[in-house]
Amino acid sequence: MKMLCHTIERHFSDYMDESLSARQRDLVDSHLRACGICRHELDALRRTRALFEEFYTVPDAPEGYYARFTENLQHRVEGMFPMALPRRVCTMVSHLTGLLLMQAYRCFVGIRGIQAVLITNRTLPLYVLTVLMTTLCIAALLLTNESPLPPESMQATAIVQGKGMQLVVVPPESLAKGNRRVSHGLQERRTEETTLETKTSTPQPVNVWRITDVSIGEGTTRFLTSTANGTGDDGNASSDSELLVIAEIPTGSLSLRPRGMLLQEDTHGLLLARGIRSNGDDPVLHRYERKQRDSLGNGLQAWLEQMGFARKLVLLETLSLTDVYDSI
Amino acid sequence: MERTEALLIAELCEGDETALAILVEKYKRKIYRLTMQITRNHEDADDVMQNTFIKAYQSIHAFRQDAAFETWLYRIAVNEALNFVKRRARHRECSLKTGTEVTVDAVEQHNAFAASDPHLLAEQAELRHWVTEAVKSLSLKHRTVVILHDFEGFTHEEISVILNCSEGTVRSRLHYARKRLRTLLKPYVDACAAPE
Repeated sequence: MKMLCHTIERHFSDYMDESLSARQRDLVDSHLRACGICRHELDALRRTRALFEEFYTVPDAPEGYYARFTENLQHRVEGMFPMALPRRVCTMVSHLTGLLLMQAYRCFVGIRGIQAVLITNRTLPLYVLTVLMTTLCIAALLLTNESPLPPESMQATAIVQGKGMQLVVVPPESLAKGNRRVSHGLQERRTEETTLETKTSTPQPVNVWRITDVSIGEGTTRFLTSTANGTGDDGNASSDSELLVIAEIPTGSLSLRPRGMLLQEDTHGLLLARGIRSNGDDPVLHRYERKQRDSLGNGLQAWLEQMGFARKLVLLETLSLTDVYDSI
Repeated sequence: MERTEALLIAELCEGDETALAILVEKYKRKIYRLTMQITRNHEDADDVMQNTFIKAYQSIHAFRQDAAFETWLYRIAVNEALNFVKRRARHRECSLKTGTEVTVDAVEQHNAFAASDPHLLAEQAELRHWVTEAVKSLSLKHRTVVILHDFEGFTHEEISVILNCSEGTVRSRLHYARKRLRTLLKPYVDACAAPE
């Protein structure tokens, strides 16, 4: 009996998880009916698991940790896997320069005195190396200084579904050309607009991208809107215009990466926040938490109506990235 | 949902950092919870999390679709965490049993005290503390299995994939871990069964 108890006891964990075969389960059941000690032991194990499930806790991450984590990871990934061509070249050049320097050092170690400055058969390769290194260093410096994406620039790529994959790109120089004006809209709101005009590669539509700071409540929210076929001089949408997108982006930043992607469905959409950074500590992903329409609500709706978009609008809720992908 | 994740993985294979951002957003809380339980330290859990996602990004081409992405990611996280803890243990051989770490002895001493003081059971915060400490006092491999199964809800098969061991090993470790917890928490377990 004792031996049997010991054998049966090994199956208790699986018995609790209901992962035994039917035959093994019957064996355990029949033993439990006959053995009070094993019944007590099994009960104790069940209570232990119940205690674990009820009382085991994992400490939460400190406040703001996840947002910082995302930002740090993004920095690290960008550092480890430079995507832009100039940065790749820079990395390669740096490595190559390091190798050449090491070779040069090895060669110079064996040469002493006046021999080092005379151009002889032996020192010629060293001079060639020196010239090469200088050239590479200068090239690396130049490439590093020429940032592929100046932080204050604005570039955006929109893929508008249902319209034949229309591509809209706002080049950085448009920012300088854009006219900037301040208008006072509703009483409690101060609206500052920068209108950017850009033409797509196809001749038909002219898309106007507008960055608008709207003070709703205590804070200021920056919206990126785009209309097809332009707007009137008064800044309102013309009759045949259609709002393609409205997205909330953080105040203080206009830097959208070229690969930022815009998804649009019938009623929902999202400007994926890749690469968008605010000037403050809050990364954008943190801000892109689900907001109910009501939370933007009345102020935004009034502003949209004032701008003439009225009911033709497709209001895009700001959703977290996960929410959007889950809903597709 | 599956299709969406497959799409994200395909984009990640092409080096799209946006896909990485979305996957990080989706899994970072789960991975933190797991790594925190294995490393028992926020700073270490943070390091392990960073390494996990970087490694996933680097080796996404090696991911085969026959397993769920979540399981694959957990496997990386668990391996990273276990390696991290082992490295840390080597570096801190002398100091491991000091500081805030709770040893088995401490739990057993407390049990002797708790057995003589049934009123302590009324204090749930205290109970929560000792259950958590009992789990912490398990060995690394037993703790990992019990957390993955009873806390994270993975099946034996999934855990065997995550830990790269046989299902039998998983069952055996789980059984041992539960028995050990039962011993460590004996006063509470017995008190729960005491007649009213």
